[in-house]
Amino acid sequence: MAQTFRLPDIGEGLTEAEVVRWLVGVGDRVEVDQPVVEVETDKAVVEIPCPYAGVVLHLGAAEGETISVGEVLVVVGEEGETWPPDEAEAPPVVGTLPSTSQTLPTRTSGGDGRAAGRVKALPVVRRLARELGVDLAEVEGSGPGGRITREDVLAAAETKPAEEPAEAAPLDVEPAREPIAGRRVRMSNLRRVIARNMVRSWREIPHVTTFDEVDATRLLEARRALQRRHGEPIPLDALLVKAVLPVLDEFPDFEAVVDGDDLVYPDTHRIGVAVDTPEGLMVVVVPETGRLPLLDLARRITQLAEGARNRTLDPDQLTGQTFTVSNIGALGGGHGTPIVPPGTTAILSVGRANPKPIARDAKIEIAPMMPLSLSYDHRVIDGGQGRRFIARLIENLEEPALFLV
Amino acid sequence: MRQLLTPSGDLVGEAPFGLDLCVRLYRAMVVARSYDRKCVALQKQGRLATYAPFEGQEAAQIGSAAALEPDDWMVATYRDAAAMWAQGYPMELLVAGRTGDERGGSPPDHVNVLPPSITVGGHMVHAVGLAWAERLQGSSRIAITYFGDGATSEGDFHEALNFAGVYGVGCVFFCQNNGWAISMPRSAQTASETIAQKAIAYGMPGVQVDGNDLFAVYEVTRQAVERARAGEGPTLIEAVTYRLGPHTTSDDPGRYRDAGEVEEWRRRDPLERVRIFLSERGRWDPEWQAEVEEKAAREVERAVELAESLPPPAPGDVFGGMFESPPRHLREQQATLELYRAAGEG
Repeated sequence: MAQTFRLPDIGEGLTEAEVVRWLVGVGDRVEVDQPVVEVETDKAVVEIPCPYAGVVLHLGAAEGETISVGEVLVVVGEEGETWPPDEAEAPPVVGTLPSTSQTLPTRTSGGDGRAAGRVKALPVVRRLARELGVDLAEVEGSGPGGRITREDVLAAAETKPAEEPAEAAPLDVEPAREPIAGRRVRMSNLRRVIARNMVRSWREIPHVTTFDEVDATRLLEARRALQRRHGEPIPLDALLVKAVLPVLDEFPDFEAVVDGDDLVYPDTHRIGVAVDTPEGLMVVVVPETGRLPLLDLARRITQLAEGARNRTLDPDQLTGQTFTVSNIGALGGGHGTPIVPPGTTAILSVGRANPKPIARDAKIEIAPMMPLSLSYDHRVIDGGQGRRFIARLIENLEEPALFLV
Repeated sequence: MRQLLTPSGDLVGEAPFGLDLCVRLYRAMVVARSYDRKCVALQKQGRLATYAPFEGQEAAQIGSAAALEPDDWMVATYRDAAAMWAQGYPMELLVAGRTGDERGGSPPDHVNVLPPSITVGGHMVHAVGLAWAERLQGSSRIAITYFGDGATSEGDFHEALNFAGVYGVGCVFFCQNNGWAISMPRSAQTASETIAQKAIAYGMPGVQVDGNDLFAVYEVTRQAVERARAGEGPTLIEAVTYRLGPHTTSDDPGRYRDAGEVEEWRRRDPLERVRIFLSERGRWDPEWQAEVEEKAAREVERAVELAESLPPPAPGDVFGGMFESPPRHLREQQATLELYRAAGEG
């Protein structure tokens, strides 16, 4: 009889894993404890051994696909058997937590009087439901012990009445057409997260971008002098963040977050700095940014950027920023229209300072002009305020003494 | 460093036991390795919680446990299942303990092995207490305690050795120096050249032994046990060995040590040298090996079956495992749990 092996929790709190490589195929014979698949978790690539002997009838996921704990990994049975079986039999299950006969009641959190503990779903499934705007209390679980699976949530999301566009509902899909011939590559986890965030920002936030440029002569001189004095590299990002902080104090709306009909002003600055990594752009977050002296800030940003490139940062070092600075100068960037990261209101993009002719005192001079692009949420900030913000920022960047004291 | 059997299976001293016992201990090492690999597989199938493998340390554990009397005390850690099993701890309870079942921590009364210590180092003082209590009661039972190189940096190591030294307690301190305290190498653990030399400060003999040499481990442990039983006091043994696998199933050793080091230790496999020794004396051939392995696998399978067929524990059972009569705060917690559950059923 076919035996189903579901993805087990192989590490503390594992919720999902990506199938890297199958070591067996359908029709292959496997022995007990023979490794059948390599999966990648947050921690490492792990070979998973099969608890059953027999012939592989079904593989639960394609290579590159991510599956949740509790979902079917592999089905093993007798030679000649087919899967799914003709009659609905309940195959023995190894690898999931046994469903307890009794669930401890959780204290109701008041309000709607619904017991929060009634819904059985894995954290990833809960997250998916939140993202799709599905109320788990109204979904019937098809998993073991009535557990709600990812499929249940997807099905519920599809049948949900279209009242208002769901938070991160899939973009309107064109009618089915022939798949494009060509190489198909699954996006990495990071790429998928970026994609989700970009879609969310683009749908929710009415963007405005204002452009300007600043003479960076004094800023670059100050940076060189500081590096000479202290004998260590000071990333330009650190000076940019320092220059922005007093402007944010003066215009706190640029850190205010829209929450329903309210604006929430954070207690402290947590400035995010965009870092280009081989796998994609990441924003590292400097907690209590306002309290750090310049040198500490410089070191902190250097450390975090390195951590981002090595993928050694904790999630809380990559989320929760109140404002983002994206210095694309190293890549030769000019003006752009940055997208405001979800959960924030504004982002500043800074390009490379290139020598350009400028008119000053009726004369033409050459100066390193640094392009600035400031995108912000037009629900919160009007154009006039955007101009005032960038004008004050330019004052600071032109005369570093204004923000270094 | 004491050595009797080289990695290539050459005897460089006198064998401490005859061929029959050698065969028995070899079989035991095969069972231990089979158990260890099975547990790693079970963990990856979600059937065990985090598991700490001991592959590579079989000789240190089987060789030392073989030098004990059946009723001597053993106080060991999460990585010492082979030694505990050799001293009579039922294998199914070792497995059950790793599923998180409290009953895995309650061996039968006649087994003088404490459940494995998860806390690093804290258990060494328990071993000293047991050995001292036996002394006070006029018995000749001794205690052995197992710990790793990392545990020698804990304060409890000092307390245990100091007390045992001062009172001349019959306790054998068996350190399996496997080179790594999770990701910290032995060289970063202590400025001492060896761990064995720390014994001098506590006024007891310290001996360093090739921990992958079944013969030498047995021999030095037997001498330490004899000393302890004769009332001559404790001994510190440093068995130099190597953990071939990860610290636990949640660890990726590839991040902190290189493959060459592991390969080098593979060549010093504790089973292989005994296999060569037996083979050269006509007591080993491939058919026999297959039979030994099959028997070992069956014994391990049986233990897993037993552990997995235990009926699930009831929620309140957790209160019963520790005290003869539970203290008040635990009785209160138990009452609260019962009320809570009664409310849920209503």
